Amino acid sequence: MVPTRRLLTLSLLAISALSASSKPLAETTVKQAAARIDGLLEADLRKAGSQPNPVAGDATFLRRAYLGIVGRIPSEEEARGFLDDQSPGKRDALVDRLVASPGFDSHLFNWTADLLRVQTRQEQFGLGWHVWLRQSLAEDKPWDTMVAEMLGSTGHCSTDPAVGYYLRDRNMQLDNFSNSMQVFLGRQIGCAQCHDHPFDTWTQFDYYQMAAFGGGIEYRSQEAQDLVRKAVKELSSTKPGRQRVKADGKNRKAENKRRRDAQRANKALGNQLRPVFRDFNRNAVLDDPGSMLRLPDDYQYRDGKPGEVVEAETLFGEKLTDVAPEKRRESFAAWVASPENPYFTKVIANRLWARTFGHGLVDPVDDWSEDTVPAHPEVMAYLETTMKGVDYDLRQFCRILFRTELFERECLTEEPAPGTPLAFRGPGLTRMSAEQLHDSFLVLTRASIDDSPTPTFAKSWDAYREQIAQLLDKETSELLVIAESVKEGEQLLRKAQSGMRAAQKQLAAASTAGERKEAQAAFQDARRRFLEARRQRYPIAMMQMGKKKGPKKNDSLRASEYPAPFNPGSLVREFGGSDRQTPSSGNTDASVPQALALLNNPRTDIVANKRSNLARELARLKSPEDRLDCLFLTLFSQLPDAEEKQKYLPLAKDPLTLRDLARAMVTSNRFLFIQ
Amino acid sequence: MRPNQLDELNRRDFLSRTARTCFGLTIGGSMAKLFDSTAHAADAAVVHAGGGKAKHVIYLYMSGGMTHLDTFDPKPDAPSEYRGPVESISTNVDGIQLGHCLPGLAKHADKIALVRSLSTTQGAHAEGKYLMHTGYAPRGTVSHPSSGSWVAKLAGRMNEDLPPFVLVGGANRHPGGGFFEPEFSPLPIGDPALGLQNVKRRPGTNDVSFTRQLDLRKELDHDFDTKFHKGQKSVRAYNEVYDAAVTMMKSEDLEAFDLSKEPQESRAAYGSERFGQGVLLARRLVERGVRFVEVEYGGFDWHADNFDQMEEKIPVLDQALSALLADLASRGLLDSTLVVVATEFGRSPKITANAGRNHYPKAFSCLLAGGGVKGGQAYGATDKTGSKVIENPVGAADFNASIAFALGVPHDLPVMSPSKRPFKMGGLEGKPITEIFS
Repeated sequence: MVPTRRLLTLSLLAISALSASSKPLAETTVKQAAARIDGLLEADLRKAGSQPNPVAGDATFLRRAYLGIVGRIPSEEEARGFLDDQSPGKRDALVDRLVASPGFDSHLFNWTADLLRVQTRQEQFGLGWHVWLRQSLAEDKPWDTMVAEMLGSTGHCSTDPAVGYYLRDRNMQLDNFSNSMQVFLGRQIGCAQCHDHPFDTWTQFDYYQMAAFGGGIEYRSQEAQDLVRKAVKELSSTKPGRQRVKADGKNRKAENKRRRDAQRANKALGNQLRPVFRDFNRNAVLDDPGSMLRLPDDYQYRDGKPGEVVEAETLFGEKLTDVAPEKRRESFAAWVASPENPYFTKVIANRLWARTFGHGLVDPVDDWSEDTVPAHPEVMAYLETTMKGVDYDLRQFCRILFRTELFERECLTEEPAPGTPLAFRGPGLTRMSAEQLHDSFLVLTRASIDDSPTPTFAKSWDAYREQIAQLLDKETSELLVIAESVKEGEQLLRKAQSGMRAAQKQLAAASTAGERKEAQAAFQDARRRFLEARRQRYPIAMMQMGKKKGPKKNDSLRASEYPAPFNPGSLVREFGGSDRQTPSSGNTDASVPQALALLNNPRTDIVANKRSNLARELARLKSPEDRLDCLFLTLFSQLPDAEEKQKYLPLAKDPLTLRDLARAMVTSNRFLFIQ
Repeated sequence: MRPNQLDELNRRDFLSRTARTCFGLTIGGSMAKLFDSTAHAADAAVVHAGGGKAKHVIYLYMSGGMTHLDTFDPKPDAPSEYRGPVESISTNVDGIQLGHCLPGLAKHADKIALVRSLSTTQGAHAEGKYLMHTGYAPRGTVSHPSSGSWVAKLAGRMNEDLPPFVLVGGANRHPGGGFFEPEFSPLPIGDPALGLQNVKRRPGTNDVSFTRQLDLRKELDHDFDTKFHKGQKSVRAYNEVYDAAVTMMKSEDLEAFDLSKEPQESRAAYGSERFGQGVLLARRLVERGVRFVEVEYGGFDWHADNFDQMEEKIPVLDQALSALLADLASRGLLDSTLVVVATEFGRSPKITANAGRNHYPKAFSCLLAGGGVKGGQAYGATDKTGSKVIENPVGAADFNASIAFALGVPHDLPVMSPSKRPFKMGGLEGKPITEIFS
């Protein structure tokens, strides 16, 4: 469902109206919008007796721009090019160029996929959702459209990959609903699932009224059901003895019996065939208009009875009542992703503000209430207008933020206090995210990196869809063969299960080391068979086995090009890369394993790695001055100052001390943090 | 120690006091010293009541909400729409039964106290996990420390080289050290089989080079640190983790993190899954003087196919937990090590149409063993369908207060947050369950 395109003006500016057709935004529009933000901000700061931080130097800006916009440090060449450039508009030009580059998509994808908890390898839909999201961002699909497509998605993932949004929380529709409220509308109402909200106005009944919009969701496929029905009909119609018998007296009894037998046989056939679609069903959603959300069995308030049906109703914003059951989800999607929704626009605008400047105008970014007062309220209000004005185009919205003077200012030296509105005299100091660090190492080892996405996932996804098309095309006789294999898997599973139980008992009863060992071996064996048989129960997954699903072992890709989440213990996860379990779970907390990884891991030892670009470059350069310049430009995006030159030049003369210097730079806070 | 006093104490001073009380003045030295000393400065009243025996905690966290009916609180007489296909099995203690997927634990029932009367109001994962870990409901204005960090702060280190709190397989949203200074944050281990990675210097790096590298790091950061060290906790944290990393690299106890040093037999005993290996790692770490090791086992959120999932996951817990109890007992460490099994909530007693169970914070079960806990008991009870606590309700704050009690650290000592508000290990008004200690 696509909301109608809106024409909203950036009214405060009284400039020409914007629409989707005028993308990318005209230079003057961007300039004016950015200036407006700065103007409002500075007025607010002045009112509070404060003033903005001074504008940061070129080197700081350069590094911040690359990391903030394309998620990596600049290469030596890129850094030199910018620093040497004498033109007055070079900062604006850099921002515009980076925002329009594929690196922007990669960086924004990491952020969005973390927010939405995309797990690439979840069942089969994970890949499709991943590819869909990547593509949607690359083609500037407006955020409201994207959200409406996800919330309104239905059917099998091969035809509507946005359905991954619901399948992500298969059989957990209430959790999914709570997450939607938190992610898109910044409302934390999860606790009202079990009881009235302790310090908000939400009651448990309110919660269920809202959740009732998803009350018809079922996790199976209509298509599969129809196919099974069709196959059963086909099989039973080929059976002999179907000629109609005139239903008179004696024959009626026989006819009834025949009909019952036929029904029984059809049912058995259905049961036999249905497992063919077992994993097909696990990757689909349907809406059952007859299915309604009911209050929980332990409901304890007076406004409802346990088990009572709850009618869908919205509790803020536009009032939706008496929604036809078959329209529930569609209506909800339109209600959430609407400019009229009191939170939708603000929440995404504030989230992107926090992404750009290290802290939200409202912070935490996902805990809004009716009486939330943002830091700099006029700025927040203007951001909302701007988001509507750019028609929810995230790239253009971000471009405006990156073009503000605020983005050029020196960062704050004090960390923000939780729960207190922050005066934005400058951006916050942030640690590189795990993905920024991963991608920056790529710059060090490969110098110029290709920001364009690799087609690997998209190809695998196409192959999967092809396979699904083939399955849907199969003759009934072929389906029966598959059914047979699935059935075998089922039997093996039961057998392995009882084997596991027996081994467990044996283990518990074992008294000698030998007996224990034997029982453990038996248990492990049964467990292995259990896991194998479980796979065999899923025919599509079986067909896919052995097929390439992601990039081969290849450490030269950007973080966004790997299946997510990364494995525990990997460099990305050690640095807090998202586990994709909760919205925006990526963190930047310090830990000892991180220090060890930068101190000792051979992979982070870019100067000793002969294949790394930096090492080759340092070996090529003849003079110690050049080597020192190269190191500083590559790692800190700036040339050494006079004092540093004096201090470190002696070290650049000898390869060994140069190596130690480079290693020290990689472990430094100057490298890891973005000022 | 009087309320509010702790915050004023300088950290070093606090640690050295703890150290003096614990070990005379030998800290981090020989292993023998670690274990024959009596517990640290436990309150006399606490000791009298049976607390203060534990020096370590191994905290196993079943993430996602572990079903209570099918594990620690089976209901053989409940109707089948509650009970499902679960059989109750007898244990080595009369009157205590467990779900059939826990035959190993059944042999150790004499060592455990089941707490069958947990009850909270947090039915969403994030909120429930936060509450169980910190004793407080989440608020936007403060981030509370988790129980491991409280123990690290209140009980202090036993081994100067190793971190006081290690988190194995933790999810990203773990509350960690909350508002405490970085030194009380957990050291995370992602994959126990990999252990603590990158502890050896790179090949060809001698002392001189390594020291030069460290010195240069400080020098390069001089201006940066001057600007940010004071005002930014994250910057302080990085300077601390580098110091800690270098200390650890030199430590002889580092091999505690290395499971390959463990005999094959004992690795097999804990089970080959990541969780079992994590539990084994926990044992190795407490042996070397780590105070608190948390091992997370994820994937308990069974809204569908509860019983298939149970057959897959509970045996893994059963094997690791029974191996741990047996191992600790045979090494004489059970009395000084509190073993905890915790989760954010239970599962709805009535089985759903998908053969699943939904979130159920109203009644659920956890487990305590060792560390002075009297084994062979079930504390608290639920009604005949496991739907309601009918005896001795226990909240998350009480549960954490009980951990404090076992260690002999004050559960009600207020520690000030940076915004100068008082918080306690036992939450707002948690009371330890003193009855379960011997």
